[in-house]
Amino acid sequence: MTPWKRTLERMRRNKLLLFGTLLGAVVLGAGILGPEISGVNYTAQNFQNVHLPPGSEGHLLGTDGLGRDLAVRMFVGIRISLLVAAGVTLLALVAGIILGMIAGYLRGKTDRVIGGVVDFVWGFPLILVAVLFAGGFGEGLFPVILAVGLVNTAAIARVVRGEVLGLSEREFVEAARAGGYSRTRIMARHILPNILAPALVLASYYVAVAVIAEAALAFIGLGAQPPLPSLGQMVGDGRNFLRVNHWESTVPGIAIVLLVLSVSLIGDGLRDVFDPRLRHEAKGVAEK
Amino acid sequence: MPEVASDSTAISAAGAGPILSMRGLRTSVSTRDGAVDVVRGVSLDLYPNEVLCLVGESGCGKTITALSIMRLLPTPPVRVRDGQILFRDRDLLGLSDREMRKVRSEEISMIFQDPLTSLDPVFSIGSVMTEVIKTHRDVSRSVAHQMSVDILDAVGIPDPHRRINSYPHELSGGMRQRVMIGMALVLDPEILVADEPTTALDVTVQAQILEQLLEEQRERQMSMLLITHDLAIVASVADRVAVMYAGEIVEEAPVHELFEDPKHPYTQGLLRALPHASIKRDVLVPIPGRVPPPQMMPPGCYFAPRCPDAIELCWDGHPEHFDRDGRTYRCFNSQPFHQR
Amino acid sequence: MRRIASRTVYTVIVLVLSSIAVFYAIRLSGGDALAARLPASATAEQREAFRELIGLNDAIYVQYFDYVGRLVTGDLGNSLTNNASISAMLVEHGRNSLILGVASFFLVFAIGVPLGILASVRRNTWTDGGIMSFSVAAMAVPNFWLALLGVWLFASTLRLLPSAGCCSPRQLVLPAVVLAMEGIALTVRMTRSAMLENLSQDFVRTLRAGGLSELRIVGKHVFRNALVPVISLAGLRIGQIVGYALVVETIFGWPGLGQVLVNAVLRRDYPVAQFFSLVLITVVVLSNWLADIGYTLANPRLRRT
Repeated sequence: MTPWKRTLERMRRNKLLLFGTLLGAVVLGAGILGPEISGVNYTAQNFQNVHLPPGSEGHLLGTDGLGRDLAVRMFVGIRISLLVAAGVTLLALVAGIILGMIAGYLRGKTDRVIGGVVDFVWGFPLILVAVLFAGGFGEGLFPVILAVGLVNTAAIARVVRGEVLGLSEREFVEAARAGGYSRTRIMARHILPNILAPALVLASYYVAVAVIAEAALAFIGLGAQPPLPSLGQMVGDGRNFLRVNHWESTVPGIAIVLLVLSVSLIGDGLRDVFDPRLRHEAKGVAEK
Repeated sequence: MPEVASDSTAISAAGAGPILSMRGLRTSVSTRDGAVDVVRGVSLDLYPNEVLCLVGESGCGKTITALSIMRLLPTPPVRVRDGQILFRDRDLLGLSDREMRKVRSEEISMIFQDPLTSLDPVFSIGSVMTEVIKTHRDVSRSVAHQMSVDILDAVGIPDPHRRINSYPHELSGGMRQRVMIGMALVLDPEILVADEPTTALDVTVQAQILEQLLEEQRERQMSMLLITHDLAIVASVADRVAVMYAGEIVEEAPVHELFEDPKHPYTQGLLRALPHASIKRDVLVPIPGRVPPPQMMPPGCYFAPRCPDAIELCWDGHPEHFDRDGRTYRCFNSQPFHQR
Repeated sequence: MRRIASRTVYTVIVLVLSSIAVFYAIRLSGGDALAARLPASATAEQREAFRELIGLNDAIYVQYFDYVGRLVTGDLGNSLTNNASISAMLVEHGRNSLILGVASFFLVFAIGVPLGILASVRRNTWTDGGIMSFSVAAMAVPNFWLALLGVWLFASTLRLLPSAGCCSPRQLVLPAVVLAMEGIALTVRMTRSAMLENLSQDFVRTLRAGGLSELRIVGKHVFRNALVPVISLAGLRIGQIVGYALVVETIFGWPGLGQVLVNAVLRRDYPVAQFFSLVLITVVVLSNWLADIGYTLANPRLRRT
């Protein structure tokens, strides 16, 4: 079996990964297809039908305080959460890998400067950074994206740098260096393929972090601004009507939990598949 | 060889039976495909005041044997499946955990291969030594401290008063191993089990540490089971040697007999692979092939696939220990070496 | 010691740089635009005072030193929304935040570390499985959602605890637990894996060979080794608690620094936002510094270098 086949086989056998992927597919499907299938406008208000419980006629999951359909708002909310999270993580992944590789491979002064900045940013609580940006730019999705992107870039760069430091000592990199290849070529052809797996595993965690951060900020009113629905904002709006119709908070809340759970399970599963050392640790110290 | 015979009778004539006696020890590792034996019926005696070397390639089960004696196997997955380990007429395998803890380091001590990872990095060596002493002896802190200083001095640590407050990472490899020896001997045990005690050290330090070990062994009249893959070490320190292959003892003999006249083809192979073996050879001959993995042992003699002298019988039956001409080894072919 | 000194220098540099960053951030979208976005309640004098405050006519480094100079002399200015003295706000809300923060920091370790140890000692049993499932769940549930669940269950349904307010012990329970939850989950994981890693180290075998009891080996030696990474986690937790406090204080109406900052940002009360941003950043940076020192002191391999 080739290494890739073996990896695929391990992925297929990994229950965490399987379950997470299924769950993720369901949530993703709801986000992508839900609004189209239901055909309901998520901004349509109807003051005759406010605070309807789930199962009401025409509104599968009920309505909110403005009589808007909860189901379709949840679907659109998932879409926005995923767009923000996936987009930000993709950006952080690219920027983090580039920064981490440069710092780890070039070392010396470059490493100290990049490392210092990265450490500084990484040590910062995401929410505080987002609130600071919201203070500078005004609230909305932009400061959220910027904050999550910045902090996650730093987190990924840290790990990539560590991996690269280890890799550049290895024989095949030494050999490539001795062979007179350029730095860029060595980084792209010899180092990059080896750090992709750990970076991807890490990135899947940061998708979860991004989803939670976006929701929390939206909840306190700093994320997506109305009429654009966002899961966190929906939970926040609904909390004033917990006694009347708690579903207005519960529905988007459950959506967030499922979304985060699926992404974390995928992350755990990928880590098990790609990092045998941690897999052993998870099993105990059995094989010695 | 008359003098050899008198040597071995000398031990029994003195009336001293073995201090430690393994009988049919079987230790297995449980894997996904079931339990696999890695020690396969080892019977071995350790006599008072002797140095017994257990020799073999890595993975042959030497360390597992030693850990079985100390009951320090990583259980699960490794556990003793069968056999006895008799120490002063008590079977160590039958002791309660509490009783076994009393045996450890009071009566049987062990030192390990890598002295850096084998010492707790976040405590000073003195605090760990004092803790070991106070676990076994009802003495005050200051007495325990003094005992530690004394033993460090005895095992050749310069300036022990100061050194006792050091952390493992502040000591050199040789010093760390001396600390390990000191910690193992501070309660004056009767047996020291040393598992590759010099393998992780610089060559120059190796000799010093061996010398220290031998000196302590003689002074304290204790028995030592020294585990090594290095025949040069065996030649310089052993009284008696047991050669292990694939979880079995294949040959057992006083050291000079073994080097002068190895009986088992595996022992012969090991000696031939040794640069300054007493056998006069012009070329080094490594033993061809590798040890088969434990779950794929051949039905006959485990060494048969690599043996230059295998006869038909070797493929069918498994050889037990044979006592021939006052020698003990596990081989069907009685004259393998001389036939070549 | 040299390590501690160099980390201290780094921390000071970081503090200076981040104060500059906050200062610039407030001016990012242009001072006049900011002045125009002041709350409707701001008077003409306040608008002028704000323009003066951010010193639109001076060079920006002059403005920065001006501001730092005023901070040093204790002249923190007033809020634009209710004209409250910022220094009085700092004292009052700072005290509230400190109560909440210390309580949840305590919970993180008082619950997380023992659970992590228990899971590691009973690894691969139902106990371990249960603790780890709890930890996964606690990380997947966002804390604002947990807050709502807590309010719904303990305040609305069971009527055991008040849903909001400050600062009686009963009012403290829900926000402190919610604020601590993610930290507890992380600490459990970290403690468990650090314990397991150290349990498989060679030195454990040496201690067993020394005849020490399993309780002593695990409870003293393995734990003490596992503590090293957990301590470095502790400092980072302070930072995260500061971050999540922004959300949790808002939800529970806990009048702490986080709530003040969020409200100031939402109401564009810039003097307040700028000052409390600086305060919270300072807390985060200093806690990272403390974590570093703790890590260094806990680890003899670093202590004497």
